[in-house]
Amino acid sequence: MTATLSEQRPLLSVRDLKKFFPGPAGAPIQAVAGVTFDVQPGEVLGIVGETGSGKSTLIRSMLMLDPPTAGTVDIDGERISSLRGTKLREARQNVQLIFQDPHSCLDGRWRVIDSICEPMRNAGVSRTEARRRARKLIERVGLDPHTYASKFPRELSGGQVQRIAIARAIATSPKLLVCDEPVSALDVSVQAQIINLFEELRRDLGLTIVFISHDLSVVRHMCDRVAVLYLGTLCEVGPVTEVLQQPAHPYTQALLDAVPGQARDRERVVLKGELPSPSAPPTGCRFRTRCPMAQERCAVEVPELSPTGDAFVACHFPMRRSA
Amino acid sequence: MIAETHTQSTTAAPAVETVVEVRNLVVGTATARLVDGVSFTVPSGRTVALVGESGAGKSVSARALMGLLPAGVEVLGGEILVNGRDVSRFNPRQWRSVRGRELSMVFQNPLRSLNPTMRVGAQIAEAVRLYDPKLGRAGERARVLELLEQVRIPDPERRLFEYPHQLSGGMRQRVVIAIALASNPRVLIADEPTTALDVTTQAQILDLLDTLQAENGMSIVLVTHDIRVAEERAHEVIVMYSGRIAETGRIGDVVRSPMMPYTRALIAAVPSFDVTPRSLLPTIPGRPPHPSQRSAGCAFAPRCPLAEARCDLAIPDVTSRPGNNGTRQQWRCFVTGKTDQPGPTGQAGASEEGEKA
Repeated sequence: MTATLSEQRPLLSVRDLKKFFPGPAGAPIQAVAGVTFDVQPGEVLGIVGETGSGKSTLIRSMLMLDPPTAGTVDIDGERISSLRGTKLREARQNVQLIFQDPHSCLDGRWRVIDSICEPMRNAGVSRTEARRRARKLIERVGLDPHTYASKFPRELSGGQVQRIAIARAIATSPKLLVCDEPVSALDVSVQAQIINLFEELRRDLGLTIVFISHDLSVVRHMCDRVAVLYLGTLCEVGPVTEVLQQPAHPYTQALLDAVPGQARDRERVVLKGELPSPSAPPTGCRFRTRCPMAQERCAVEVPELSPTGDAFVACHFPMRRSA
Repeated sequence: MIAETHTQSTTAAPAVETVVEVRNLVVGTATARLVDGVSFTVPSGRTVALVGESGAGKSVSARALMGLLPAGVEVLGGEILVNGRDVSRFNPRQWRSVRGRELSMVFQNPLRSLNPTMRVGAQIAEAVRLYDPKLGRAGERARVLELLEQVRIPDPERRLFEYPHQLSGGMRQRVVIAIALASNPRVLIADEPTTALDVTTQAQILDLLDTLQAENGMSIVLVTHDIRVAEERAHEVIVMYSGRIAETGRIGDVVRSPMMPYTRALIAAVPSFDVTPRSLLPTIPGRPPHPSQRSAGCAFAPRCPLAEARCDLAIPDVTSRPGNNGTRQQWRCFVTGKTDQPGPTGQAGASEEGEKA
């Protein structure tokens, strides 16, 4: 199945990606258990899921930081999952990462301008040119280069460090930006500033972004499409306007209902119990042990992602969407 | 949970008893006032949310209520009345008679509150013994099981013998809540109790706090950076900015018609489901002043879109207007407070839905 409607070649194409870790008593931990999705050029895809859903492992294996157990990853037509060594490093220059803790992208002993210059220098840009561009980038992310270029990360506030991390990430004009909870640790007013910065950069630079978050309001605001991950598999993928307005998968509904202020006028879908162990996932549908609507078939047959409306849903008994 | 509490709503203002009253509290170090003249009350059986961003003074206020201020930070002025007794200048021995008995606290990170080398049953038993030393072994064990059941931990007999690392984040926070409940406190202070948790677990823990309140009538002081959590869970809200109270009132009144410009900005900055996707969010330029560098005027004035010259010169008096259920919405602002604003009481019936009464 190809979860796209466009005839354009996707910028990122992930097919049946699996990442297993050696687990206790020989049973592998199936952290990512067969994930397939595409991201079109200029698109922002949100990936949502709880702790333990496999979001971060998915990203790490997708970018070959931790090579996947099985499956393929293509970035801009290049099969990076087959590359190793220098070739892989070259291909990876098309991708930049932004993390929840921006200090992890920056060297605390370096002035911020040097951190921004580093990826450009690695790409062969001259020192003078890199510094000239870095000052422009600092301005682009909303800080005054005169004041901030020669500061150290510890001299900046959380929001300012995140801006610098973003400047560094876009310095080499990457084809793909992967953001892991980039606004989760920020105060609301600072979070709004960074969300706006992403939106402006997107409009100006046409960035393609994979955006991981547990905050559905942020995902709904920033993303075009959303992929809902549960215990290493996708429950639902599709346009934010569809998936987060009228979810078809009961897990998506439960996630939405848990957002404060969302389920005021009806009974909430409340999840039972806890996330099962990824070394002994439930048979059939992985969500069935916590699903309020599970039936016999769910224990026997693995639901495939199949089209409903403009989205794809992996559920034997999807909730109806009104037309 | 919310639906259950709806039925308690009455049209007339019930005479609610005050459990904690904070009067003009000032907390700080030698050089900075972290909490600068804060007054509020915690009514019996109600949830009061302390909302604000980092550095607003909400956690310091909550810790002052518990006598748990960090070293070098002390109460510099004002009173904290717990059941009518001023505890603000208590010494450590006096505090032990209040802390845990009348007030208990739950923190953000349950792993830091729990001892990693002790089984959870033993840790809860320790708290039980502290408040009821004459219980005996069997009685203690029964009480521990009762507490585990109260916080809805499944299979409590087995959980007794587990260590914190064997539990999920949500279960750990339930254990911490069980410890806090061991003394049957009248007030539970929950400092960002769900910030480290997933949304689904957050909803479960907040549901649990609602249930516990409905069962034993305790008051809850909920410290949160997320005004949406306050909107869904609290009866009253105290919005803090730079160590001072920006606005207080019934949560529905404040969220629906915020008067202090900071409250308005805080609500507008949330990318809620009502906002057009991909639109630019209204933001507040700049950052709050450092507590040692506040001007003589309103602390929000340097960032305020409505600020006038006088805002930098003096702190505005409290403006208030009647809210729903006999409450009052109060705020400090020269600009939005200068005229007598009509209160939101007019739509009392219509505005009931979706919030606690």
